[in-house]
Amino acid sequence: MVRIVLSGLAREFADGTHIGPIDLTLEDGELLALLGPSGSGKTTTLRMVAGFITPNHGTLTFDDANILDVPPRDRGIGLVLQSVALFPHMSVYQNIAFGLEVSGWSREKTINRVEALSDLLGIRNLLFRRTREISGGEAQRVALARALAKEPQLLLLDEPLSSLDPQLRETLQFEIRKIQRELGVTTLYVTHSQSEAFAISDRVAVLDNGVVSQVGTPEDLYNHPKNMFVARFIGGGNILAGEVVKSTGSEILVRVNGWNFQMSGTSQRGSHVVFSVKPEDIKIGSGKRPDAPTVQVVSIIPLGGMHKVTLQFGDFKVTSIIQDEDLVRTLKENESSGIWFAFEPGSASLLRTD
Amino acid sequence: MRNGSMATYVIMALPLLLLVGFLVYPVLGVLIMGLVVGPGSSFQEVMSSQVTHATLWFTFLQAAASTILAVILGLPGAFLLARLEFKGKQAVRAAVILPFILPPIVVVVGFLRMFGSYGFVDSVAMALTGATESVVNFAAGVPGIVLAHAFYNIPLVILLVSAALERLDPDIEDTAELLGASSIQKLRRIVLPHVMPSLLSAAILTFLFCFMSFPIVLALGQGRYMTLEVLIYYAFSSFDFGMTSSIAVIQILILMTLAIAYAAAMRSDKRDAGQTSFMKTISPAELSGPQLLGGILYALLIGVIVVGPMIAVIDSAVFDPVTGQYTLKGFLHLLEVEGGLLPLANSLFYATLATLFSVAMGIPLAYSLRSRSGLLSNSTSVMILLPLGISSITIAYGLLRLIAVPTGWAANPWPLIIIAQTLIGVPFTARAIENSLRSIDPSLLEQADSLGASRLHKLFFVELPLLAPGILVGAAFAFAMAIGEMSATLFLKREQNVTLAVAIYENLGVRKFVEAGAASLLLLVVCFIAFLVIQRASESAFKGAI
Repeated sequence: MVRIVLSGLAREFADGTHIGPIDLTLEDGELLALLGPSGSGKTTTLRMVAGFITPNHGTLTFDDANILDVPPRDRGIGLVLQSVALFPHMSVYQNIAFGLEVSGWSREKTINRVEALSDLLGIRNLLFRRTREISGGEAQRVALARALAKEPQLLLLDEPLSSLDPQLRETLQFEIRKIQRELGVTTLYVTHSQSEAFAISDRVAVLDNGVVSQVGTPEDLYNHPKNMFVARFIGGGNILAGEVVKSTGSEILVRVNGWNFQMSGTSQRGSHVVFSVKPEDIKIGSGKRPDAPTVQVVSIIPLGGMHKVTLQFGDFKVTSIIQDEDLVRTLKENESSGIWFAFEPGSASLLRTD
Repeated sequence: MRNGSMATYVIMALPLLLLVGFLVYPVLGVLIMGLVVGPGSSFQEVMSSQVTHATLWFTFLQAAASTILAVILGLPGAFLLARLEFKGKQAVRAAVILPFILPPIVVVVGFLRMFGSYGFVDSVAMALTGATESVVNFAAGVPGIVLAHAFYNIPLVILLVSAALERLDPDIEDTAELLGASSIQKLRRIVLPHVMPSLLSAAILTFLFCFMSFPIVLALGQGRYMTLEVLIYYAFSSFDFGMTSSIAVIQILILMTLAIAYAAAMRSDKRDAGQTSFMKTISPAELSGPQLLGGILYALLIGVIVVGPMIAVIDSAVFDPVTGQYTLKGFLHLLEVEGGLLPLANSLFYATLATLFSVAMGIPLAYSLRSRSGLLSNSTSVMILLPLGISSITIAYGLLRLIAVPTGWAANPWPLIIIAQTLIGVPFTARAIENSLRSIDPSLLEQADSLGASRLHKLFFVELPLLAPGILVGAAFAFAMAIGEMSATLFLKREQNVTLAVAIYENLGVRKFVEAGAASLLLLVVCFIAFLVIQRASESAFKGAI
């Protein structure tokens, strides 16, 4: 449909907050999730793309054509918001048909289009209901149908599912993904939920403090976070810091709290590094091991089939996900001493420390 | 109240019984009595009389004209107040309620000085045309009546419609825009349908107020123009009770219909509240040249119609138009026993007692409104709506013939004046307190319960302190209404019961303008203090809610 490029897009607000510069590319037909905590600038970025917020700097192009001077309604955009924003005084049909009517579609064409969309989204039976007579999930479907009615070249979704219950959210994630693939419409999907971003998108852009921290496929972000923020936000990962005591080609030895850890990566001897290890890559056991630090158990939380074990390692908290019930029992019996942890050299990711 | 014990029901039912005894019974009784035994004209005679037709026609026309003017002049203000971010917006928003609580007779005094012969506007017109005689007089006849009604009701339209605009979810407007709607399409298909119920409520309420307007029409209509309310007063003055009752019946039927329509419009307005924190506003810098010019012209117009008369009251207290000189005669007159001190003492005495009674009745009525007993809450909301549908003059008429005569109060009917002022104030206290009651978080009361508070503890240490802002707002409203009340008081009073509001009217009648002006300024100050109390109390209630 369309390829969107944001480059150096930035906006300052009167109250001093500052978003950007943001550099981001949405490939034609791609679903890109904008992921970040609240206040990271996700919605502002989306509203700059929509045209409701004018950036102070940077460029925005749709298929290489500058679009910043084009008013929102001529950008060919479909928008779905968390608040749904269905027109309260209109029926479901009138809501979906609104965009078509104001742009002068004939009655017959409008009806055909609305019917086709309502079939696609499974809301045909709701067409003549009032908007307050439908449920939250149905309202989101209507909002999506309304956004798609004019065959937009770009679909913007701002936390569309955040107010729904988890089960419904999963169903609709799947449906949105399916419809997006079918129509091949380029889509920007704003969410604060990592699981939602991972479930639905081709690629994820993590936003921190108004700038893009890292962009990549979900696997990429999860396995190879580039910095502390992404490691924390995506993986709930363990972040440790230490000094490089030995550097041999593709591997280094890092000393943390008096213990040495081997990991892949390159760094100069004597430099300080920060690295992350995913909880599922942390192995723990009872007893003592000469090559692994002895730590204390802080808490053991059951997660349904698994347990999340938090350990105290000097100043660092290290979490581990384990499935071994016997090990959990042993840990509970002698919580205070005699626990070790370790990880494979390949499972640690060196992080940027800027 | 949760434990529906006998005692609580009795307490809650008591104000309802009082309303039945002092409102429903006398009004219903006097109407029937007047129709059946008279003395005076029969209903058929009144219905076929030319005077009735002309008055009814004029009442409708002036109410319709006033409503149209108020809506036309109020709508731009509502949009500006909701959408424009400007310095002093909070103060403007607060000041919008000020005209409501100003006594009509004070407004009349302000209007005469602002728009009357040789008033401010006339002086400007005379200077422009070089005339030595008065050129324009907008404070008399139909223009005066309609303008004075606009003074009261422009703020009403602004208040109700801007509140609705602020409830419009900005996401909805953005969505409409993205779907391709132009500004005009957005206004016509999204914004107007959204504010329509509020606009309708405001229009019906305006029509209703103008329909039963009394002091303004009496004073500015100069006997040539009459509303039904004025006609009731004249009919009673000439002891034609048959006519009094007949006209009152016609008026009540029309007012009740309007009141019911208003209640229905209000109900349909209570839907779809959007997030107001995220309101779409613009700053004056973003306006185009013509838009800015329009805004400034509008502000000037409102300044002349709404702010002007209030300022003119101050001038009228010291300027004597008869001699054309500035003088302190008006204030000296206020210090005389007959001219000022007695009316002032009467006003304060009646208004204070009426306020206390209004609050005392308002609290249980507010609880009844929230009651889960449908019978209780429904009958209460009807009772509170009644004063919208029964005019002050009709209430006074009922009280005088059915309460004063049997009790022997007719020679000195001061209790009746207090009763009438209480009846007029009760809807305000009940609604203000109910509003506070609604905003109390029920979990606070559950907390108190779980901490072992007794029913009385809970009432005095949790509920009443939380209700205090509502009670204060209601009391201030009731006091302002009572001290400015002229219609019922004028109807009921004897020589010794004259209040300030009535004294102003009587002084105007004998062309003692500066005396009327000084008393008006005094009332203006009192009502302004009440306004400040309302402002402070509701602000603290507002802050408490955050």
